[in-house]
Amino acid sequence: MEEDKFALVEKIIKDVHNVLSKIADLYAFDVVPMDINFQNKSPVLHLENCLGLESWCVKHVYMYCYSELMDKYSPKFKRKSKKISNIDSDRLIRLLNVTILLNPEINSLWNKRRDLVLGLLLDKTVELHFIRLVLSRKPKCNEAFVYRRWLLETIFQEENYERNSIEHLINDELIICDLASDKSPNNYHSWNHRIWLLNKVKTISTYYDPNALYIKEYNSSEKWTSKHVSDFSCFHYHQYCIKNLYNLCNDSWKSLEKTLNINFRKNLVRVLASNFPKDVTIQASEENLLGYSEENLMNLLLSYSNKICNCIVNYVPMCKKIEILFHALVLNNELICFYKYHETLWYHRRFILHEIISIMYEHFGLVRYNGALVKKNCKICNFDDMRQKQAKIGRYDTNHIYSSVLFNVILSHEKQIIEERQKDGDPNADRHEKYLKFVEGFNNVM
Amino acid sequence: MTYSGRNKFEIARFSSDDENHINKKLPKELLLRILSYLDVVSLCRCAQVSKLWNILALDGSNWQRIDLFDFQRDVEGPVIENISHRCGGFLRQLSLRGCESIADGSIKTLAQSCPNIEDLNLNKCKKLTDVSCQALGRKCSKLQKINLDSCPSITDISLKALSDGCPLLTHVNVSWCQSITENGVEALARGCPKLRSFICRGCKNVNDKAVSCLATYCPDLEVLNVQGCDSLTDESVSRLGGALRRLCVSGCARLSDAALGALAARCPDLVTLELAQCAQLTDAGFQALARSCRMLERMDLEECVLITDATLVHLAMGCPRLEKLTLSHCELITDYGIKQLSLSPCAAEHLSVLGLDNCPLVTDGALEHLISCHNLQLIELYDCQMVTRNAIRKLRSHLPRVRVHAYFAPATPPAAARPRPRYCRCCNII
Repeated sequence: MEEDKFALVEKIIKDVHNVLSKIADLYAFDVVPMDINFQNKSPVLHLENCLGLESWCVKHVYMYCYSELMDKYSPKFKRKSKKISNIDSDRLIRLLNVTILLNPEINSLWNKRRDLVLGLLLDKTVELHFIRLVLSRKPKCNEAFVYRRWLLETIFQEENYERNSIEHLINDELIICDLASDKSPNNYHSWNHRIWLLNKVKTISTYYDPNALYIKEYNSSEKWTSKHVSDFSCFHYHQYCIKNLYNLCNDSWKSLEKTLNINFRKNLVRVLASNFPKDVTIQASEENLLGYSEENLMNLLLSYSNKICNCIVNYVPMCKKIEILFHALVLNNELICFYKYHETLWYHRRFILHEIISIMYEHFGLVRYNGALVKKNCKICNFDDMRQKQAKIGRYDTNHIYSSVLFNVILSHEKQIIEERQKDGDPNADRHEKYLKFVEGFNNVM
Repeated sequence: MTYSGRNKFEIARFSSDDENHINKKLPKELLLRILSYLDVVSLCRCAQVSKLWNILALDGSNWQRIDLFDFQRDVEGPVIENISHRCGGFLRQLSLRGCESIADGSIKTLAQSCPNIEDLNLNKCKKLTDVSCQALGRKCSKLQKINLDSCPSITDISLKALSDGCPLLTHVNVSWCQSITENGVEALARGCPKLRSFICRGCKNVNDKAVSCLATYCPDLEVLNVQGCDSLTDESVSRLGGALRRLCVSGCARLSDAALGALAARCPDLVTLELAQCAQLTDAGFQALARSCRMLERMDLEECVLITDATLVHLAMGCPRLEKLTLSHCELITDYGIKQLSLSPCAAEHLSVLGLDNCPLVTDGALEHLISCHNLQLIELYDCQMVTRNAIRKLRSHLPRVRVHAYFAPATPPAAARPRPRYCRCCNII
């Protein structure tokens, strides 16, 4: 009986191997629930490039493969770890394929694969494809993503790659992340993998201009977030994309506006005009504000800087940052009104406001340290130590912030939305108010 | 002894001050004789016992048969060079199966210092090229068996060199050496008339001419394996001679009933016949075969899709010694054929392995007939979808030793049925 069971399992392993090696573009694997098999039929199913295994055999196959792997191929029991030769590598690969497909959350098995790759017994591109198959069943498998990153690192280290193949690789990764995120909501691992990929692209950018990618990713993540309003993993990625846009050059900026089909400046100006404080001497209309240059606009919004150093401030990137963040803020408004009571949206709002406020602090040469505002030393000018004694901040300095136009615009804007949402009974609105008061320190102005 | 002059002196020196009991009681010749029964690993261990034993264990006369396959680590070139120096003319048999790091240089040294080698296994020594075989052909004229399975760089030049220098060759295996062609095989056949076994699985370029040469020049040929040489036709297979015992032509899809007819007429002593994927064969061919080849013991008919129950009827009548029969993917086979087989003289005594996987027409009835095959040890039933679990259970109850391979989950032991108590005993007491 035992022998028959082993023969059955061996046959199933062979069947799986046949499917894996014959059909090159398998894209999905899953276990088909079937408690008892009434027919003498193979439990290995494949249909239209999908591979399935009936659940009744999973227990036997997994136990058999796992114990053989651990008994025969684990270095634990050997005094000297035996080098894997070609003869048993084939057997090892078969066992690993089946075991990992069934349970990909064992790092020892992935390490075995790493050994095989280093011994040139497994092909890297084939491996990338295999991981895809694993992720099709368990899209949240961290081990698979880690192994994937390891493989990509080794591929990128090989000097002889070409521009085309890199673009191809990057596109493949993005597609796989999309699939994994699609399959399972709040997939931290897939979004994290995407961030890793973009960071990696930065380091090899001698061959590749990352700006186009940033714009593409911003656009897609914006769309994704507006469809998945409770997926904070995705919002986190979106925030990463927003930060990537801060340093775009002029040409890329234009292509960004073109792809999104928006005029950022118009957007910003509309928010400003509708929330302008009443007591400001110059009353500006939308048309009026549109004519301003970046420098004039920033001067109007922040009016005065009491930085201690003499660095020349470049207003263009600062203006761009604020434009992006206001665009995000407007978008967030719409989502909050449309999808009510979604906590994630409010968290994203906190991020936006925090970014805007930190831009203001930077402009005024301040930094929030241990909850209190202190003056920041400019690292570029490295002003003398004399001034450091005056690092304590007076009420005078904070007044500059609180009286600036930008601050007042934000404040009235936030008050408006909090009031509106509170009427709707959204508990997140109260929390948001508390956040602004006690975390961002607005308690004496709100 | 290899280095007799020096060794005699050393043995005398070490044995005189050796206080060990075993060395005192046993003469050196006897120790040497005992050591000669050990394998390589044990010999190496013995060599670490004492200086005297080191000399005795490493003496060339102990190292006539060496198999390095189970060695713990990758065997490198210098190992082979040391072995060949140590063994010299003593070495008769060497297996380097799977020693992938071995290169031509090592084999050259081997050929130089061990001219008496008779059996050399170089399976999967992938780095080897024709240079190795040329060296062997020059020096080792006593070579009888050579295995070059999966050495992809071996070409016709190797076979030419071996046929020139080793006329005593009886066993040659060049499977998966894809560059081998008719020219190499022809040279081998002409140069080595004593050839008894020739195996060239997966050599696509081996064709009718090559097999015809083997048939003409090697009258003693007993074993021929040309699996996957898909250009072979009836013409050459029909020429094979009467000494043939085992023939494998699996994957030679062009063969037809004419080949079976010729085999039946010329090779009455066939014992093993593998015909997998020969899809043109029909009942008529097997009828002729079964009439004259009465010694057949093993047959592989996988994917001979045209054969029907008639073939089984002929085999059942004509081949009383049939032990192993594979009928995988023979989709026309029905219960009737199995019934005829089970009524035959071979069934009761010999038939031990029966492959019926992927025969969709086989039902529970077939298993009931097979109950009379007392010697049955293994039956394959994968994907026979009309066979049920109950029929298998019944077969097992009649033939308790039989192994049944089918896609049925093994029965769970009854102990697992009892649910585990949810709380431990102490919780219950409290």
